[in-house]
Amino acid sequence: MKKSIIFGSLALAGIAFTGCDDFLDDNRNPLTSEVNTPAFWNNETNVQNEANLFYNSIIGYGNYCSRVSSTTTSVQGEFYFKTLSDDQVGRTWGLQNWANTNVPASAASWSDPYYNIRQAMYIIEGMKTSTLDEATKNHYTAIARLNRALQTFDLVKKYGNVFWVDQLLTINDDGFLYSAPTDRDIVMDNVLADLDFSIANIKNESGKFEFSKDMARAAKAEICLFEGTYCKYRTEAENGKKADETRAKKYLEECVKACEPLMTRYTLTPNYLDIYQTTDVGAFGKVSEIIFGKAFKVNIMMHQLVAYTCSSTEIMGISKDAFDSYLFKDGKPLALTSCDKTDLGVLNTVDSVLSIQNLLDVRDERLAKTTDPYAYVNHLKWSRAGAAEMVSTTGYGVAKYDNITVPLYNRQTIGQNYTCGPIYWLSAVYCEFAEAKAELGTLSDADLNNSLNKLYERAGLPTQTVASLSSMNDPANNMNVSSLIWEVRRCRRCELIMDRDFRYWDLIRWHQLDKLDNTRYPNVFLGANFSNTFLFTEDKFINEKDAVKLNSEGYKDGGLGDRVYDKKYYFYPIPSGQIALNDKIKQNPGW
Amino acid sequence: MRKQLFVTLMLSAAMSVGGSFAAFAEQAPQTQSQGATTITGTVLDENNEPVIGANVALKGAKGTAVNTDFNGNFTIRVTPGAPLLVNYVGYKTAEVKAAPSMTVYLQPTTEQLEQLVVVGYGTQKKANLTGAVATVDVARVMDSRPQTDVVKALQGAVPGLTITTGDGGVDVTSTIKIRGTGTLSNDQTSNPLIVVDGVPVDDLSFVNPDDIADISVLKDASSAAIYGTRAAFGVILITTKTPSTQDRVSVKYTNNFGWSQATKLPDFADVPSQLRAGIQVTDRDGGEAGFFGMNFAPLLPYAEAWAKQNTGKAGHRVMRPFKSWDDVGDYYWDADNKVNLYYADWDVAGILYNDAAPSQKHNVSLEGRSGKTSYRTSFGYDDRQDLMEFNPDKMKRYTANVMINTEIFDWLRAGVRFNYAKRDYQTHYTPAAGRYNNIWRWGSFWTVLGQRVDNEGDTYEYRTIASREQAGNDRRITDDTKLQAWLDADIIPGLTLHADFTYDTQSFNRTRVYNPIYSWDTWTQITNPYPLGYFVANQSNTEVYQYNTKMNMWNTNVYATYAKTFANAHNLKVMVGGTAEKHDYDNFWVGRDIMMNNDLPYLGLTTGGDDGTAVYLDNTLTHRATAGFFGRVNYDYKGIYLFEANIRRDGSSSFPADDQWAWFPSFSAGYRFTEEPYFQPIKATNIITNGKIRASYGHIGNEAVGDYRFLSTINNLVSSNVHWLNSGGTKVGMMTTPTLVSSNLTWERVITTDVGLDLGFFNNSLNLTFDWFQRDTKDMLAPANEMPATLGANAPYVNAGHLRTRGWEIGIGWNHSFGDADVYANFNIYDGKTKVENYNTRTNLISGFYTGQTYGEIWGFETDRYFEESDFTSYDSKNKTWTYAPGVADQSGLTNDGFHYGPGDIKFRDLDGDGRISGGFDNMYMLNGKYYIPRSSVPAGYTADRVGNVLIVDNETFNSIKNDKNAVSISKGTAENHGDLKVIGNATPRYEYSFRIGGAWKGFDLDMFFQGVGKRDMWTTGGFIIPYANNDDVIYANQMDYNQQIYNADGSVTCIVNQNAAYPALYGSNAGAGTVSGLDTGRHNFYPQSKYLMNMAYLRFKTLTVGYTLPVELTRKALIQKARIYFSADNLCFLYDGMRKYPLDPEIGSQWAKGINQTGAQGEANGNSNGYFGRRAPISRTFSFGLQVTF
Repeated sequence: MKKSIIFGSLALAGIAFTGCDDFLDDNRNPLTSEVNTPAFWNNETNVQNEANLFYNSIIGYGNYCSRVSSTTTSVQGEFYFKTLSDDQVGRTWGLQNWANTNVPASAASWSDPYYNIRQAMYIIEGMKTSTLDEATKNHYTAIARLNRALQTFDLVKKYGNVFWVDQLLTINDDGFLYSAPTDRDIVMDNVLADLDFSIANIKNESGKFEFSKDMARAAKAEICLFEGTYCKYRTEAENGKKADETRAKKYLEECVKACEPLMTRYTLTPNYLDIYQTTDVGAFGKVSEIIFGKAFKVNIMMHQLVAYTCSSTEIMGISKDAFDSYLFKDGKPLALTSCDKTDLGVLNTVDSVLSIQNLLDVRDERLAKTTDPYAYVNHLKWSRAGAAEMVSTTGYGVAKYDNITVPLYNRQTIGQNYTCGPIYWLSAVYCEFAEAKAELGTLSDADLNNSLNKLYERAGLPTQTVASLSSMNDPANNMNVSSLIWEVRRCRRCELIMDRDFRYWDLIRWHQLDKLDNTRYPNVFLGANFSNTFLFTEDKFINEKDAVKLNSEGYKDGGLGDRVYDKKYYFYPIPSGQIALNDKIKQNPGW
Repeated sequence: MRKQLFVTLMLSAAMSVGGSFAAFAEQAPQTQSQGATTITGTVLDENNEPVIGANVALKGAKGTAVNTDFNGNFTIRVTPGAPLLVNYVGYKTAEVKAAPSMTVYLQPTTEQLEQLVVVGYGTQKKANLTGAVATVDVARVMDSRPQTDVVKALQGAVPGLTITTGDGGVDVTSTIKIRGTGTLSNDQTSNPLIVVDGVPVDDLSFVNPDDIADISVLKDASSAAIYGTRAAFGVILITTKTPSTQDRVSVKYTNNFGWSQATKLPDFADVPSQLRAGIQVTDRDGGEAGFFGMNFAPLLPYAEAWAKQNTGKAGHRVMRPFKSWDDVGDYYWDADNKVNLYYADWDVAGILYNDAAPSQKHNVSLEGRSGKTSYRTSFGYDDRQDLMEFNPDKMKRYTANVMINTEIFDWLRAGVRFNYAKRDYQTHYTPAAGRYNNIWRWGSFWTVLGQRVDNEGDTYEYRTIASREQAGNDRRITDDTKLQAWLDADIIPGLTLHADFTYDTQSFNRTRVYNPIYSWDTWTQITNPYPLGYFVANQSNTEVYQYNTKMNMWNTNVYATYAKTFANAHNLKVMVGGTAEKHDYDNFWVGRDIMMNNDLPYLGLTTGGDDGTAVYLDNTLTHRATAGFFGRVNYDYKGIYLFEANIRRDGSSSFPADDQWAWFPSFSAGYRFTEEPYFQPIKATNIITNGKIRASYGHIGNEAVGDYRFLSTINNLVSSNVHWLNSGGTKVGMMTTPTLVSSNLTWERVITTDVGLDLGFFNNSLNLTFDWFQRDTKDMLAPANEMPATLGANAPYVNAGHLRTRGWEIGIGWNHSFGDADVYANFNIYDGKTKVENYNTRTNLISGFYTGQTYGEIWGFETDRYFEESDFTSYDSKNKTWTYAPGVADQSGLTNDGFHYGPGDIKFRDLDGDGRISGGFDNMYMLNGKYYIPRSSVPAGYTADRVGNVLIVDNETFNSIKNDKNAVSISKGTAENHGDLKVIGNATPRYEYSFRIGGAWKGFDLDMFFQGVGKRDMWTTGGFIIPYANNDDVIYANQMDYNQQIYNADGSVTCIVNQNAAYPALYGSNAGAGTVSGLDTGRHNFYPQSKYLMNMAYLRFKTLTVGYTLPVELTRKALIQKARIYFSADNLCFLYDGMRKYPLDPEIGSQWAKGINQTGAQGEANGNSNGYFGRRAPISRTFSFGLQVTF
């Protein structure tokens, strides 16, 4: 009996173990993850969710999930925070100086786009074998190619020659991974092909919070304007390639082609600030000017842009250079206007504030919406609608993004701001259209009426004609371009000031990067005129450190060093770690 | 199919072996009882105290055995004159002749060779061990200490066992390594397998140290291989206490009450000093000279006045307003500038930390035997709290165990074991999530720890304290229940069969509540004259989260053992068996915003955002399984020649189906030369009394390489990581990018060779054990070589290389009696070094792993001295740049972020002598073994024709070399092209040692335990190490000795350079990345370098225990068998502290290794970035008292 029990049990145990293979197989696959098989791509919801991942790369006002449980780190937006331009003066030297001064070992700006491009390639490859219908497959392929184009363009404008990725790379693809980058012109032609494919194949015509034909058109207009003007103005000495008129013409025409359908279907909103300050998703969707935007919502998804423009942390104010670029109410620039051209505000000694309302009253109305009616620095602080007392690097404030009807807590607390932000919008398209036409030499009065004149009107300025702009002849024109192009660029600068890092890349494509050199153009680091304040005349302060730095003429000097131009700044340096891995990558000139 | 065949073979083998064993068993021992009579006797110890529970047996006769009773008496029926063996743990076995009324005296043994050591699936006499197995002295390591964590208690207990705990939090688990890092896969985790009562466990925190009977550490492949795939990096075998064999009920109660404080805490210098430093740093880097509008310069005169009018630092109290310059109070409302000035010097450490955080533990056990059934049950309770003064984290643990063993037939024994443990951890949830980080992130004037009173007389705390006091609870309760049943059958003499089955279920419940917090603060209200009534977090931020996790595991083992001695000389033991295990893990969580009633933090009473959509949820389910078959043969000839062989075939669900099974063999052999006849004359001198040479070799596969490494997986992105709203204001769905995996992964194979020597001297009162080992990890699964970013994905795991660790261990133990006094001492030391023997890389980047690298190495510059003014020729005041004098190595290539080197800054040594400090040449090629750079790569003044072994050629020659098809580009930041960088240290602990000295005399006992690390470096950019690591935030008291660059109003600069100063001239944001490729973070004056490398070596007085056992004559009257009281101190003091310059314990944050950020407690700031390093729960020192009573 004893033996039979024992051997019986042993035999049973042995039999149990023979099921081991199944036992291991049954426990192998993950339970809460999908596995990347061809079948995965046959399900449209899966593909949709993969395509949605691209939205996370659209920054706009930035992401800052205030909910403490979030693991997300904050990403500062591309509005206001990008201070390397002649529009704003950063509050630290790091925020004033060139983005790179030495070659870094690694850089997210080089590596991140390739992660997104890989995502696009998964969708493009997945759609090749998918059993979804052709139209649907083309729709998602189009979204993937649109995003590949956006990411590749981002690389090209920073680095020049980059890799054009059109395969799902594995670690064994040495032939590609260790090859030389592709010529930038060829890459940009591929980008254009991607954009055209996406315009043709994305299913929906429009949609303010989703990828659509219109969103793709707006992206194309922006990219083609960049490419057209870049190719027109580039030089071999500084950009490594000669100017190419034919190429410029082609891209400028493509830009116009992309703008036209948008200009017929969207209309300007009467209030300039609705573009920036709308708080409700529904209302934002109804702002007629918005083509594509990033919505925010209280307690669901919030940002920090507003908090930084109404806090005790020094405001990165607009520069004297930018302030002076606004037209006066008579439609004339500073040098030519018949309006009161003083830049001296009125000091209220009782409240210790310097009002500049008198300056704003005679200028382009957009300026009054962009900045504050007071200039503020240490000892002359000012508070906007109950928020903290502020100081500014230039004295000029930044009011454009602060909707004062929002509860104070949600205005001044980091990560609690919920104003919705534009990504592509009509006034930018108007500027692109007018500039492309002006550069092509085909800008007509009708074109102006269809574009910039609408912006002038909204800004309380007289409308213009091609002839009037061409004969403006602003003595301040230092870009060696026609009066017409100078004025078109001015309108763009004033309309889009501090938005989406436009200005820096405008200077790159216009070949005007030297305009950031404060030793040649001191106004880029200067601000408001405080010469009539006690700051300048009295020594009532406890010590030197607390004093406000004014230049000899009494202008606030926000500069913390010399930002000297060098031609190498036309490109970002390629991270040395990447060249170490692949010596076929050549460092950009000058680095 | 192939596997089925294998199993069938196994089974038939088992059966035929069983059959042939039966044939061998011709002689079963017979119990002789002719002429037997009843003998009574008493067993006494060396103090004439009765020995309770001693085993008295007739020699050579099984079954005739009794135990002594409470008075040490026994009764046995044997023939007078028959040989009796009297056994008791810790005493030498006495062999006496039976006499009608006898007294047996037992002598305590110092002889451990006869002890049984627990090994895989069985036990082995220590004398016969051939593998590297160490046993832990459980009584000394676990008892009499306030330590409730088994793992932490094991630190220093065994040579080669490394326990690191980088954080003093009450819920923090330690990392365990045996013989160092064995793989670079799976985040370099090389955790040993922990087996408790035959079952693998992942978390030892559910085990009460009081319930542990034995701990063995299996270090080499030969002893660990029997446990298969999870045992690649050693095994810790734990056996819990088994029921008493006494026929009486015994009750034991122990307790301990302790008080803990931080071993080290940072401090701030006085406020004026902090402000002056702050002004210097912001003058130089152009940063904002103040925090959130409160500027340093205007603050300074007030702070100076405060310092004059107050002594020491301010305690927690209501703040006093400014009255006059003769009575500046604690704050001043500067109406002119509309700013509050806070200048009191708060005692941050004194106010926020508790220097006597209480803890207690209690254990009761009851055990006994009734007939053929014995039982043991035990209950434990302990609670602890962390060192925070306000709302400290609390941890309570309850354990309950029941074990019943019974004899069903005389050949069949069975038992059940029931273990229950509950862990109840409570912390709190605040907007100041990085608690320790926020406390130390700004100066002591800015973290205002005083209260303010409003117009209505209500008092408000500052946000730091309010955030702790008002915070919602984050309570995490884990219940673990383990049920085990086992069966032992004696089939034929010598052959036993064992089967067990264990089911373990663990449930984890966590409720996390985010309350609104109302306080005053300096952050947002510096310009408000009455900064009161501010919601740091308001009602719309409130939320309730509920987490639930269930883990199930079952495990079964079946094995048969046959032991037999042939011809009185050949001892054979054979074991075969199989095992299977399955784990399931099921987790989900739900969260919802906005509580309706903050007193009822219940998901059902939340409103979830404006439109009810703010609900968050996710779940995770995982499972895995392993199975294996194993066999072992032990053979020895007269205990002289010892041999052991193991074989195991393993399957794991962690590998693709084609690769799931593998064979792993191991062998070991020993030679006890002291048992040889020729050695007996030497042995007789009693100098060398034991000697054994051992050697082992074996293979183990490593399964712990991470989940689903071979599958390209896609996950749903949790909503908190989704940053896009659709037109309805709802977050869109997103899925992650499929992971990039390598299609051809195979097992990681760990091969260990161990050679050992055991020696006993002076009748084995002095024992020495020595081991040398080499562990090779082949086909190591590790991230593929660093790939160009163009790939667009993190490099997947591949079988990338070969890692080799070589090391040695020495253990020495000594026991001696001097009359009434028994003394002992022991010492152990371990050292090991791990090298990357082979790594599949294209370029040997020093930032990653490469062939020839020593694991843990730290690259950096060698610090030369501080720059003097004479090192420069001119100064440009606008850009704050200095021109280097001729002959001074140019460091401008290291500058970024507006920083430029000047007098008082760090000067690095130009190791390659090219007149410039760099991390290598941009343009270097190797041709035919020679290295070339173009002339344009060196500074103009450099005229030599080579830099070290690198040849400088003109540009034309260089181009021709470069175009040669055999030329190889040598990147900068590699092992061949590293400029002035060198290996400045190593983060691997070396020479880990410990020693213990103690003794007993007339009831008093004393035990002193010391533990240390001989050599260890670490590079961090922690704020406590380098001033102004993050922005212009903070400088600490230990950093006030710095060089100065004072910026004058006219733009000139006054430099004060002292070569003996601890720190260079100040600059901000030093923790970021610099410009040198391949280096860790740190920039400006704080590039990784020799001067600020942390020396983490230490020797600490780990434990002091003083005890007194009450005389038995006294206690016996109270029916107490034994009563002992003791005092104990843990982490008492340092004998050596490499970190004495810094306010950090050398054990803190010690989980860091190359490529890995240390992990901290939940919610704490992690990582090495932004100066966070070291801002975590401090390591504590504990004083405690306790009582141990046995009834």
